[in-house]
Amino acid sequence: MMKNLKLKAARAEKDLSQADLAEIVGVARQTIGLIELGKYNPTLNLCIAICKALDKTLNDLFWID
Amino acid sequence: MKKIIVDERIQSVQNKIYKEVFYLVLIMCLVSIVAKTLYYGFDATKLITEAVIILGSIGYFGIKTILLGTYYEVNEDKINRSSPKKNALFGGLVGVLIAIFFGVRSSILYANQGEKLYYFMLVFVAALMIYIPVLIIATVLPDYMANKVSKRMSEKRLGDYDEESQA
Repeated sequence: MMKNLKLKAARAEKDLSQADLAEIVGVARQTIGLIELGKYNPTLNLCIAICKALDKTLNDLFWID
Repeated sequence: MKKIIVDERIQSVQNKIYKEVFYLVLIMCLVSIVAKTLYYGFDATKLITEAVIILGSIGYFGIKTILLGTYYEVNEDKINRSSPKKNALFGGLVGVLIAIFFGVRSSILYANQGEKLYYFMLVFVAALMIYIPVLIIATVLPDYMANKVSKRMSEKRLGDYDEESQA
């Protein structure tokens, strides 16, 4: 799986650490780290929670061209 | 108060571990049955605990799978479909193997020289007549019933969803 650089960039844009984002969406920090590394495929619910936390759409963060 | 985190990834990893634990417990029970039988000889009363664990857990798994509709949903996939013909063939094959086993056993244990083939054929044919129909019914009927109940449960859940979405 490819690294999710869009997620990393969006998180940096909001000036949030992995731990901050993890706390907001209610998961462990490692889960955010693994999603960014492309080593964990999140459920739609978690994708939506992350998008809401970062004010982005699913297309912005999770659509692969 | 700190929010309790229920992380889907951690839950999924834990579920995988639970699944492995389940297999591990079954394997340990089987090893225990073999060890006890070798050490004490076959005594059913000494194997009750293992039998309860194995049959109880497999029974629970089976009933839950049927009642939640997943038994039918898995079988609905045409490639993996467990057809009645396939089940009947399997039941028949097991019946033949059992008949051969009993035929050979009785010809070795009870027949004198020159009678072995006669004893084998006698027991083999009798066992075929008993075990093939019983095993075919035992493999086809539970699968048919489980599929039927599971299908109803699966459709009921989808029916609830349709009612909710129309409301």
